[in-house]
Amino acid sequence: MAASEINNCPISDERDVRRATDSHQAEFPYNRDAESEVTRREFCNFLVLASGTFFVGTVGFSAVSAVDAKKERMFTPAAIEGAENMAPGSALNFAYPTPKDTAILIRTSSGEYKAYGQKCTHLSCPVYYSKEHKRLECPCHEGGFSEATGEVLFGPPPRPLDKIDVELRGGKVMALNREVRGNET
Amino acid sequence: MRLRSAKSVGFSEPNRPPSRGRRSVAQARLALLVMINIAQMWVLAAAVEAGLAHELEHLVPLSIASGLCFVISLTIFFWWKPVGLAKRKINEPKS
Repeated sequence: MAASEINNCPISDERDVRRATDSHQAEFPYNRDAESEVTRREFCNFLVLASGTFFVGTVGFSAVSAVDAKKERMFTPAAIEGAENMAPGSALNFAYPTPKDTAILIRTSSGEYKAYGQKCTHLSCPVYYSKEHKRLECPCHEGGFSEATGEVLFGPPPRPLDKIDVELRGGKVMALNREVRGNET
Repeated sequence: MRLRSAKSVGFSEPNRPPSRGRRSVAQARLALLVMINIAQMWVLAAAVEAGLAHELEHLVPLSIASGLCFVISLTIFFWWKPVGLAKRKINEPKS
């Protein structure tokens, strides 16, 4: 910017910024000329494009959720590796029925096996087993689930954890079925 | 550019810069588009929560709401033009 142009600049603050004399301006240089590179028309275009993207995202997510919820799934019994060596009051992570479907197996202090989906039903954070409180907890938004039933104890989750039926067969713990539960309660 | 002091810029016809009304309309368009975008972000967040909660009955109204917002955005973008910009031809002299 020419010196005469700077002197004719109507707003004094603007002139000071362009000269960048203050120490904070030198440390964090800010190119004011680049600001004018985005025109109002371009910004409008961007906003309309963003609006379209949000619409497509909403419809896409809704469609995928609806299709997933209505899909019938077949389950084959599978052994959970390492479950037989679990001490009472401990937990083990596994995947059932596909490697993407993470789950958590709990051996309660009474020796009973319980298994639930590991994704929190609020925003899909992985839940962990809290031995001292005897419940499953979500660290993201402080949701809690019952160790015995997988029902919501507190926090924002809207429905219980997915329930996985387990059974002891020939000394092995087998996963038999995975049930997605709604918020019927 | 001729600079005028604030006092001389009134709403009476001779003092009003020709671009004044158009600029207001353009800025109103921008403000509306920004508000619609914020509303759509809200709707998308609600759809994600409803999907994860398996509350499928909420997904259709949310999708419709988002679509409506998009249609309004398009309407603003294509039809809400400042009158001067929409009607003036390239070679037409400015009033």
